[in-house]
Amino acid sequence: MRTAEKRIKFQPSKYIVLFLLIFLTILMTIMLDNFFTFNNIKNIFASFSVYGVTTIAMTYAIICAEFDLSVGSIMAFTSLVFANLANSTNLVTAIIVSLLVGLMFGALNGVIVAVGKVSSFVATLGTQIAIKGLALYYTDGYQVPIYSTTAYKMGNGELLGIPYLVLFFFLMLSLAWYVLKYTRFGRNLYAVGGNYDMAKLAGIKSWFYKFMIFVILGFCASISGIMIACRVASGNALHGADLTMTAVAAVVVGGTSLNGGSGGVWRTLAGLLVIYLLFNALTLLGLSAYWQQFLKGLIVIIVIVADALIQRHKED
Amino acid sequence: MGKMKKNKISYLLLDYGLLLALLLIIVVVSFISENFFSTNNMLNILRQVSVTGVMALGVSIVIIAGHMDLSIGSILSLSGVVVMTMVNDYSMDGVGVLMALGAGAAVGLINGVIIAAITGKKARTGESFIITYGMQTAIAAFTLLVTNGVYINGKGGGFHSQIGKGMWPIIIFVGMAIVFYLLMNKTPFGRTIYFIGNNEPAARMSGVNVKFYTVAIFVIAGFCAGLAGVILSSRVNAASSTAGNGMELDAIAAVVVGGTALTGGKGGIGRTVLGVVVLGVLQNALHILNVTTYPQMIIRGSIIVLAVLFDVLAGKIKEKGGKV
Repeated sequence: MRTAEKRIKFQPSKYIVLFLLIFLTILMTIMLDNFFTFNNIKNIFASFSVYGVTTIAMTYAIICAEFDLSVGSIMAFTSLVFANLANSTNLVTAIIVSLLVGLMFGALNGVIVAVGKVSSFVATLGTQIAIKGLALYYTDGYQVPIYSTTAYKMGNGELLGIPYLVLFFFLMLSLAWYVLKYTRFGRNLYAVGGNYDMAKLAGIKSWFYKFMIFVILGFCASISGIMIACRVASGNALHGADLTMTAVAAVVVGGTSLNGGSGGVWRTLAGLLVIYLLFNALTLLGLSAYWQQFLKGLIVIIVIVADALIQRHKED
Repeated sequence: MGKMKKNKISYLLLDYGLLLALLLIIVVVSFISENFFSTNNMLNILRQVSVTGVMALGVSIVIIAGHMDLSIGSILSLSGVVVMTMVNDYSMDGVGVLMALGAGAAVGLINGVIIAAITGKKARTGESFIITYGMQTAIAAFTLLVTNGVYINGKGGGFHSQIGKGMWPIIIFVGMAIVFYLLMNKTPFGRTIYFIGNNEPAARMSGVNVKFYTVAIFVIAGFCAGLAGVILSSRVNAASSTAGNGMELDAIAAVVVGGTALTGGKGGIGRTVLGVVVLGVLQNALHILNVTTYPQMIIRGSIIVLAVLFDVLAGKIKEKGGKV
């Protein structure tokens, strides 16, 4: 019972991310002339919608107190599968097969973690290398250009000035939010992540939820793979190299605790916005992509430390 | 008595099963290829594994204590860049090496201090994982910023260029392994680390300064990664900001394959040395069999997963008293 009380009392940086978001937006609107324009805002959304889909799934995983390092590799592999099939068959087949590939890898991770009882960090550390190797082996490290103009339109077209990818991201976000909030599956995820043994005693098939988390992650990673392939009109084994780090950064910045059992997908949206606003500012200031990477690592460390210190403060 | 003996054998199989399986592969390869078992090839393997080996020694202590360090790969890159820059631009040979080692230890110190500060009353392995993951990203980016992503070629000559040549990498690796073995098995320091890995709350309650040990293990891991960076940069006479990318995984794989449990408190330095050598021999065998880099990645990743699965399974069988 003590842990339950603690969880109600402690809600990690519940509104910090919103303040941060508003503060950053105001600061950057004042500092940078070309920041608060429709085109730039559209760019920010377009740039994170691809990774965003997997980040939503990562939120599920972290709520469930699990973690997946292999999503970047799955994304890379499916982008290649999609590109090859889009060229040799039709788009529908390409999409279906790519999604199945993602589901398959997800199920593999799920079996290792949920049935094999291996820690998800280590299991996905291994599959990350193996799947990356598979992706590199598949096309011998070469990228595969996509010739279909429909695929390019899917990745770059707009509806009423809003890119399809952004619309699709919000569709997925709404779906994820609904499932988490209004279905038994979603509520049980919190239970499993909050206290695995208690959930088990309450009759929840905990292993099933852990398994499903990885299936969802694999599925979403393959969607990201298809999205990036359409956006840049090519499949590449190097796609998604920084996906895991970005996703984890966005989820923790949003305030979803790594201890599991709390958090939500709207927080993740706020986290994504904060991170990509910062990236956008760096780009507008003319700083290199290395700074983005540096900042990403730093943000994760700072957020985890802040989170732990706040928690410690509340415990005392 | 007979039953006891049978149990002992099955325990031995459970403890070293994966290693035995890999040894079997090696024996098969040695029959296929003639020059596999030559002295030259064996020395070559040892030279190749020395870099990963030194890293693996450091990270095994971290893993035995129940933590994880993913930043060692990027520390390796950083250390190489530091020593090469010092040697090339400031012609500081010995000092450059010391600075590279210091840089490694310094990053380890930052890791350790952060992790010691945030692990509160209950131990949370996930946090050292994520903090060092963040550190890996940040340090890799820092090294890229410093070098602009450009390779630094060494000029050759001097003290630094000797470290990676001839027998020196092997001597350093073996020497470090002996020191670490003694440290972990014959000193109170090592015993305390096993204690913390087994049961951190108990260690805390019996008056062990857990924070000090947490900082110490990460400094050791950082130092080892720094040393590995010095050896590698000297061996290839160049440094790059991406040299260590993914090498932390090789080191961790060696520890896991050796049979050191990631839950902490179990395993040891001897196992890590075995793991390093077996993976090195396997890589060499795959080379001889003309397996290219990419399929090797698939095999390496699968081995990590299999090793951990095997470990979990073996633990379960042992709980049931050795019955399969």
